[in-house]
Amino acid sequence: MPGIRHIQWTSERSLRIETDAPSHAISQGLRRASLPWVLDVVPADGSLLILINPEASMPQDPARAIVLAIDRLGNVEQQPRRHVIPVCYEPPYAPDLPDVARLMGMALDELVRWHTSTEFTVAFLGFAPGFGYLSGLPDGVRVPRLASPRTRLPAGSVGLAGPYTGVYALPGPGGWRIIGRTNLVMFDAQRQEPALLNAGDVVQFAPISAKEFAA
Amino acid sequence: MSLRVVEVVGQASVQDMGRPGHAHTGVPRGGAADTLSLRLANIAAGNTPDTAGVEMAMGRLVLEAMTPCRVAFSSGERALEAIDLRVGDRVEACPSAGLCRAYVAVTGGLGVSSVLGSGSTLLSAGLGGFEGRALRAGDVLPIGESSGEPVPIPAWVRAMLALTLRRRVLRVTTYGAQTQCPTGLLQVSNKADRVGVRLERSVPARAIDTGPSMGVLHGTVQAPSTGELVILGPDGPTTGGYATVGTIIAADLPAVGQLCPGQWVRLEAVGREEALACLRQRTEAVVRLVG
Repeated sequence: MPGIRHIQWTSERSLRIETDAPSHAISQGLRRASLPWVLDVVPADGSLLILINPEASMPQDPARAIVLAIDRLGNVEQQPRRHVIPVCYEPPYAPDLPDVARLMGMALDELVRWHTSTEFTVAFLGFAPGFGYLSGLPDGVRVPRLASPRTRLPAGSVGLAGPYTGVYALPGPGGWRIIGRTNLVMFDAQRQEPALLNAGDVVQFAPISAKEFAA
Repeated sequence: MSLRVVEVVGQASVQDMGRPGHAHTGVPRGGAADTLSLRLANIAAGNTPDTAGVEMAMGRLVLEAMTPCRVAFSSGERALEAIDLRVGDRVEACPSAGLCRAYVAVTGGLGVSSVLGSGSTLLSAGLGGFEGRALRAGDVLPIGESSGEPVPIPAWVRAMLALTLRRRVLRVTTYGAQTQCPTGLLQVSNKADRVGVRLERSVPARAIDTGPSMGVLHGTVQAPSTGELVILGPDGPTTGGYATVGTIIAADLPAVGQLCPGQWVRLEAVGREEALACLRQRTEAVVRLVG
């Protein structure tokens, strides 16, 4: 299978696969293969973690069974799903916009233009339900987290940290620098697919005014 | 049928065996921090082991029967017997000495609706359980229909439970870890909840840089740059960039769920076969009871 660089146990109930290709395609394929002893397949930054039910009956060599299952997936690359997320970059929704502009060496409107003209890719989800790590920042750019995280950010807050941008799907604490807010519901447990974003999806942000945001 | 919450000191929440299958969307598995105690309480109450019950952490919980019903607790070796309640009867659940959590199973289970396949409360996201939140005085908990008969828990199983929950040498697998597993004593800090249990080292360690984010699980031991260790709990994150020193074996997770601030523990590396054998032994004991 192209894409697998290394597979190894990280506990008696988890296998880590290091991948060359984006890990989400293999991850999605493995979830669809629905092996009864596999509980979760979690893509991350260049690797994926397979959680195994240690109380289920499993094959003699689960690592080999996983490699075979991935082999059988064949070409798993799919057309990525695309999302357009409306974002208001105006006060009071963008408290850290000036800081981020300074850190990235851009003027305010330049930063907004860059953020809304770039196609970001969902590298993986984590931290909290529905929270996607979106890659697509200029090469080498890392945005430092706030020295002390805010204790409560509203849902929909759009921020940057490290090499990623992302949207807080639920209200809660957060240390990313906030440059805007969306009113799109990023996570809803009652939906057929609770998380709006999936690893591998393509995201574009579209600017809206404070008036449109409130409407 | 229903039970009324009369008093909560500490944190009480509805938990079952959690919701696997959603970690790729950032939703942790969740579920009871000590699944062994909840399973045994359920068996004692005549439920299937994975039924939703109440997890009580660091305090006490008083419940009052609004209709006749049957409950069973697990708070270490104590209780684990089905108790029949008449209307107005009150029961109190609190952890045994040296333990952090107690569980209450109600015959018929708690009538909470299933969210993403589980009745567990994910407190950080306000999801599942009873209105997505911790229980408060005045809450009325609906009780489900019951068909099962209570199963008496033999003395040797209680003894096994008491020993399992009071384990202070926590076994870890260390292969694939980024940094060395400390061999010295570690003290449980007061930052211990369903997201993670923080351990302070007796010997200070050098800070380790964060790396690329990897999938992590309930039991992963992270070494954040601040120098202490964190054992991720059932509601912990699904990915993380901190270096890891290993993963607590599944058989010792109930003991982690029972750690109280101030207690001392040590980590001991074991192999995969031993980790699986420990769990198998315990699973078989539980299965024998049900079967």
